[in-house]
Amino acid sequence: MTAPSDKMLVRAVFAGDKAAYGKLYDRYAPLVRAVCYDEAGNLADAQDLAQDVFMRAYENLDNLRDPDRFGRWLIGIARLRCKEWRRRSSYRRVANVEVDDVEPITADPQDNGRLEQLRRTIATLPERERLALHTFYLQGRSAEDARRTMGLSRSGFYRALERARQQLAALLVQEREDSL
Amino acid sequence: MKKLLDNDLKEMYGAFGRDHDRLKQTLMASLPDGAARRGQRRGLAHTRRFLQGTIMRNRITKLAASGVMVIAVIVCVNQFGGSIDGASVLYARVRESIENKPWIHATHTIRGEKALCGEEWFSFERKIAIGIEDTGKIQYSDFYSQKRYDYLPMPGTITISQIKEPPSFFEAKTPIELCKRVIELKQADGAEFSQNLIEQDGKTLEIWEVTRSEDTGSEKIKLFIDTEEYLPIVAEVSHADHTGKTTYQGTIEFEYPEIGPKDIYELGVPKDAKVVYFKDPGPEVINVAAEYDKRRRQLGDFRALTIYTSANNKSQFTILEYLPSKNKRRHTTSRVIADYDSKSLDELAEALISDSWLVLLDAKSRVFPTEYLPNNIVLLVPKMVDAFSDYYVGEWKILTSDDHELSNKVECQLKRHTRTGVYLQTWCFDPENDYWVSKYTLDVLESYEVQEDNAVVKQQYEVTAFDKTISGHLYPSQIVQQRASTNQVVQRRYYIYLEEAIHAQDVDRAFIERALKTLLQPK
Repeated sequence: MTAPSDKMLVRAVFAGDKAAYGKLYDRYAPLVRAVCYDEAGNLADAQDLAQDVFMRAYENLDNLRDPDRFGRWLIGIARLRCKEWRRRSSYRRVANVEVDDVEPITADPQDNGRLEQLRRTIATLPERERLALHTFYLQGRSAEDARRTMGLSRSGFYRALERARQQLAALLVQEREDSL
Repeated sequence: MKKLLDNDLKEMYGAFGRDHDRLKQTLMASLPDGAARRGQRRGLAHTRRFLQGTIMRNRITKLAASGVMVIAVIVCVNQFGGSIDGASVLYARVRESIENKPWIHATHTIRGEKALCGEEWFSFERKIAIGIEDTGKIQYSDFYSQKRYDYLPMPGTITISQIKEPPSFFEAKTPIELCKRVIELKQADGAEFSQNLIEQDGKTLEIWEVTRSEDTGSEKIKLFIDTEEYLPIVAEVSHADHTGKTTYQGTIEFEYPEIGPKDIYELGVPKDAKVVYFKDPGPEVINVAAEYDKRRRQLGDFRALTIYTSANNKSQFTILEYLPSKNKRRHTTSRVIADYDSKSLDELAEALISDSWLVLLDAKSRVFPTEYLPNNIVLLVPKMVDAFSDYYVGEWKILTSDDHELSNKVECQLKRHTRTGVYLQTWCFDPENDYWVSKYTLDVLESYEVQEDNAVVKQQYEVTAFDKTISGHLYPSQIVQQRASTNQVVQRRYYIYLEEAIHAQDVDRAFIERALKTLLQPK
């Protein structure tokens, strides 16, 4: 059985089916967390930000013009939410307000250092390449879904993905050489 | 390295799914019930306001000629009163059915004097309205982004402009106020609404009829509604002149497809069409225009008699009544009299009054601003504020200004791209002369029409003398018009007599005699 499209799920939400929103959450939450991680730099904040993003999206679903583009719209909200978060974080740092609340960027205890380094290196990639990696690895359905979420053509998506891999490999080699 | 990297990436990205179920549970528990649905309903209000504005901008003669207009009538019919019960279950269902359809596609075919074909797309969900004319002109309005895209096949441009809220046409500041004005207008026009049920091929159809009459004739829209789907199927429209003769009739058919055009290019607009961006008038322009408008309205209702003499010694006399107190309606009528200077005042007055001329003045030309405005009175009415309507969207700017004091001359300029060409209009306000427009120019910067040798390239009106009314209000009493064409310049002189219409009477013989005496006396 094919999975319901984003459009069908969005319409179901409008019809009052909250569970349909749960399915959209399953589909996009890891991707949104990854986008938020690029900004926040730690998983806990990324998870919190992602929850905010989904809440905001639900409240503003009537502003979604094309339900087929739910994923792209959601990423847009995530970017916006992250910018707000960054502004507030920098304000708190500058004003020295509740410094204790600002979590230092530390490795997740469940990660090993190698994965943490990988995650940080990805965060340094250009946005398009970074997003290509996120969507490819986190949109579990297909590369077609991933490229749709990014709003790219098939060839454009693969080019971005390939560039991301090459740049990532080069950065990792560089970092390893620097650490030696 | 590649394989290793791929494995690492998969492992790393796995972390973003951590605690997913718990986080989902938390989120789902905190979602408000039906919030999204309520939001969707709120979103419709804006589109309804657009429809009310659409009705307002299109007077009776244009009402029937578009599917969007018919939809506008359905969605806004309860604003008008009449015998269709706006609170009835059927009405509510029809309205809901229309609003819930992803797309409405209407095609219209009108035969007769106003023969035209075209189509419209409309989506409440996406807040999109599209009109396509058989000339190839396309207007794509996106109410979500508040942008309007106008495609003109000739010269092949897409103009992008900001959509305005339903207009300040009657100075309405709120949607409710606007609706009140619409109701007043429709009632004044004698709109009647009725509904009937008929059986056809075993199906029950509801018929809604909207009939409106005015001096020039009457118009009828007959809308057939499927009572099972609660959707309009077809509308019949017709118009008859005042003798009862049909001037045009036609049909509008409605379909409700799932998918519609996603942008203007999907409607066949070439990708390489030149894009032109238009800017709305800024606050400084609006302030100047408002000041000008306010001053003009202080004059109140007025009537004027103007004369211009052409080279062949035939003079045109025009009588104008400008009545802002009656919804800005104005009455004008003109008459040509040969060799007027060889006639006595009595003879002239008699000539002007003969042939039921004054009766005609009352009966004809009940038009709104910007339509059929005679050139010679272009400086007499607050036309610039009218120009803020959608039709005059363009690049506005103040050319000269001595800011707050407005002690120097102020010039406002508008550059417009239209289907016939690019025009530059300039209004020069004169604060020393009670903010009358002392100079107005219209430059044809570019013309897309086939030009004759003598095509006008520039028109200029300049006030050369001011006078005072009996009550002491200043007004322009002499205007020089200059029309420059490709190979000659023609100059005309207008003489104007103006007085306040203090007494709500029609133009009478005494007014004409007073006006002629003033205008024809040796200076």
